[in-house]
Amino acid sequence: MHRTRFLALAATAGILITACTTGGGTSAAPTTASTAPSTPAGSAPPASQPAEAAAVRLQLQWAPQAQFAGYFAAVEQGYYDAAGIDLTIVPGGPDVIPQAAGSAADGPEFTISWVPKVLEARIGNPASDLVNIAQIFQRSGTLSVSWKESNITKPADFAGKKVGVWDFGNEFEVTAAAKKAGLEAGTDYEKVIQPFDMTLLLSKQIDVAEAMIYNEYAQVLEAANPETGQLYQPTDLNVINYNDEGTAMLQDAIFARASWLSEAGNEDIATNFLKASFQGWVYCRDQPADCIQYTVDQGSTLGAGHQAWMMNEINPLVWPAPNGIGIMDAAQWQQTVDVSIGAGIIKEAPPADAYRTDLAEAALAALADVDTKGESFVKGTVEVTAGGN
Amino acid sequence: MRRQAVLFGSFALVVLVAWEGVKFLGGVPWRFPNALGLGIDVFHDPPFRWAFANDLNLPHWFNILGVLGQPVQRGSDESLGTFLAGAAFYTWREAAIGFVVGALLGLVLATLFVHSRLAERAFVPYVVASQTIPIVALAPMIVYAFGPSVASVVIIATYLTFFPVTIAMIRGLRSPDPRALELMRSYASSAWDVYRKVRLPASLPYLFTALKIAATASIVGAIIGEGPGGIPDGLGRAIINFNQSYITSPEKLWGAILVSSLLGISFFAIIRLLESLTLRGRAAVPEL
Repeated sequence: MHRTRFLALAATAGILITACTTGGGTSAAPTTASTAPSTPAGSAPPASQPAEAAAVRLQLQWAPQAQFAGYFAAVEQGYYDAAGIDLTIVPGGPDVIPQAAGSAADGPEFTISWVPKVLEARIGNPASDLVNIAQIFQRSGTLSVSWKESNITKPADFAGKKVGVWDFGNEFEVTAAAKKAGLEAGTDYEKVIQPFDMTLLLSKQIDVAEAMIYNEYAQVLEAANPETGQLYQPTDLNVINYNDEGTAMLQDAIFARASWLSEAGNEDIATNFLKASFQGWVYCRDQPADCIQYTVDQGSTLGAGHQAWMMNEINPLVWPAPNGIGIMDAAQWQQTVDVSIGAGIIKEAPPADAYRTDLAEAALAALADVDTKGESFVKGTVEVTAGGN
Repeated sequence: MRRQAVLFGSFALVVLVAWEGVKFLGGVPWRFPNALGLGIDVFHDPPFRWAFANDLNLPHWFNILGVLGQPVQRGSDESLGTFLAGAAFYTWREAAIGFVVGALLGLVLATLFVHSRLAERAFVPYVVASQTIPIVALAPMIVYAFGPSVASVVIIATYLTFFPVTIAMIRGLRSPDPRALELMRSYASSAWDVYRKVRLPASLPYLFTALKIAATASIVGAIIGEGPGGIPDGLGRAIINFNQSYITSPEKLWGAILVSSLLGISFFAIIRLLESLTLRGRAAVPEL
């Protein structure tokens, strides 16, 4: 009697197990760059073509979105294949610290992160040996956004206000600008840690909110004012852009471990990787509509309208690149270091080898027939879509 | 059973009516041009403005259901509801593997503890301590250790599953009537026979109670793990993306939450069904 019950139990357990193992539950997770190579338009021969494609990983700073469109485009256009790079893109997300993942000895070979966060990681314990090998974003995308009626047009106007900032090292451009205007958090203005969205600004629980020009700022414009049923307009908002305030810090850059780069042949792999990535960003500058589609293809839950906005705002952060895409602007580096020291992120200037431009220069040399500066780049226009759909 | 369904339905109706009632009194203006396709423009300006009742904090539930029927992405043939159902099935498979592994692990641990007081005293505090570590802290560590893959997600689901099974089965395996154990001893039965013929059958009600808790926990574990695990196909990524765009379309996140809870309830119901099949004819056990 009991025996039959046990058989029933065992059978049902067996069914469960088979259900789990025969399905796709064990399929590989990260987005694998295994698209068929199409003919790369106007691509130069690789700097040095390895006999076999080098398998490397790229750690994104966040879940796929148009912020990383250049890499998706390089995959889709076959630039990595042509450069002998077999790339696996590792998405980021909440609880993923890209510079920590990329610092691990067996972590992804390449990492997208922000410069001050890596400067902090380099003096951490254990110390990260990540080196900036290509500064993709020449400009910062950080804004402070407030309602028009609050009349906050410059950091000095923060006095007596509730100023929202993000935590985790994202707040320094804002607090440094306030400090420059002679304001201290706690005494002259109230610093409020805001979630990674604009809810506190919309509900007017804070006066000013930190926002990325390519993401949260657009979300405000994609939201409807509940009283009127109409979308909020740029004219409803005041915007402080930290590129104009002199406290902007360098953001998305490609990092690699010094220990990994020192192994024989890896500098060539890095150069080839950069070359293909640069081509991807050039492609997104010239064919943004394609890149929006490549991004949207990364996940059905991404709003196409929002990604179109993001692509349109990411391009001006990358282009024009006066020294060529990926080459560090020494003055911007210095400003980032100065603000980092002023904010107490680091105690002293990092060593000169915290960034290097030789790999990016070699990659650019292999792209001599491509416009890698984008001097004539003009920002496009996109229509705001309700809900970012 | 039928009475239960009626009760459940009535309560749901009360909640939904209260939901809209609150919004009618203290929400933001209702604007439904051409409502239900009848050519009537509905406009209602609630007399009060309560923050918790605005469309951001409490969207109209019919809008949440409505968004499930709309395309998941502009120009897509797939509706959000179908997409989320597929994502839920993907997440369920991860959770189910973790559930099975975790249940077996819990069973093995409980068996060990029941047969060795020493092991029980040494290890049970660690088993308890393991569950006090917040899973959001642990998940990234597991992903660093095992890489961003389905394997990490399964480990996280396992981690949340083994605990209730271990604790319940320690009780369950000790639950037989002492006289039954004495009788087995008088037959000079081996420990294996006692385990197989007395302890395990007696523990089944406890096992299923634990499995029902573990089923829902495994879903939560899988969804949390999909974030740091970088899994694009499950509910975790959908929740991350909808969370990020919450201010522009809160209904989508509510829709994802709705599907997540339906998934948890379904898994619970599956275990409940297995329980009633396995324990058919046995004395009634306390319901859960």
